[in-house]
Amino acid sequence: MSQLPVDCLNEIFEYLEDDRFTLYSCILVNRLWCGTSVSIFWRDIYNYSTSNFSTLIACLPNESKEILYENRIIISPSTSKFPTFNYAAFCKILSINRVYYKIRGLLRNQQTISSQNLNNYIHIMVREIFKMLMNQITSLKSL
Amino acid sequence: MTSESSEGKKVTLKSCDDVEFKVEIPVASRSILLKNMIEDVGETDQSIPLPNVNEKVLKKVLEWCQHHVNDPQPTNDDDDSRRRNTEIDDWDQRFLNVEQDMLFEIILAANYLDIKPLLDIGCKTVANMIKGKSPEEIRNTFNIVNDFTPEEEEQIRKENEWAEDR
Repeated sequence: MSQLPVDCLNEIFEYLEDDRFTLYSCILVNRLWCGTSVSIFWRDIYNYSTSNFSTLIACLPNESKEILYENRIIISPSTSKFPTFNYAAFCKILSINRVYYKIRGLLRNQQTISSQNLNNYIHIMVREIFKMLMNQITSLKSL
Repeated sequence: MTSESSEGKKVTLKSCDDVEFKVEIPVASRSILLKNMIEDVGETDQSIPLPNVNEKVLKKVLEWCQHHVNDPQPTNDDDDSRRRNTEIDDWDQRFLNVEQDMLFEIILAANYLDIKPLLDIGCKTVANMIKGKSPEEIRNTFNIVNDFTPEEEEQIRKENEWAEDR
């Protein structure tokens, strides 16, 4: 088969923008498809699952991770390795409420976090995530 | 250039395998690349070489341009609205009902020649072929080799996991 170049693949994947199932399949096809479809998959923060937020947390820079550690906010990462992509840079559609909502859900499920501390922890975590997003995102389509 | 002034006038296109096609200018002008070239160069007897398109594909693409010669030129809408508006009509569906290699060649040629509406329906057709398939089914459909290491694949699978736990 003649391979389609990246810009044609990109055009094709744009049609699958709202189809999480198929985009996820595209990511796992091979390296070329992955590198092209992954940025579309991560474009809209409304589509992120809780586990996607764990991946974002794994992308946090070391100084943020240290702040979390000092506050004893420990989130077990989805994998122990450094993330494959700088996922934060793919986000183009951002919602502050959505980040709060998902981080609350994520932290509430942590056994180690007491309910008294929960709001404080959410605040610290969301702040660090937004610091990263603001550093990484070059252009936003919607906020 | 209005369609009136260019009516009947022809331009010669030469495929990469040296086959010449005499084409009416409005037909060739469905390609923005050719439209700009023709406008820049003016009238010429010289053929325009297309080093990226072979005879078989050029013939097919010109068939599309001929059928769509009177379509309005695509506007400079942003990409999103362009995509939303892409319905594939019956004629185009039959036109694109070809072997996979040919479909890909048409997409490549439409991309190179800058024929946006043809590129759009080609890409949408491929997107429809991908829709709902697993990674393995996609690889089988398009004969793609999985070049991930098992570790890489597992990590990417986890990092991108999208289904919420129930």
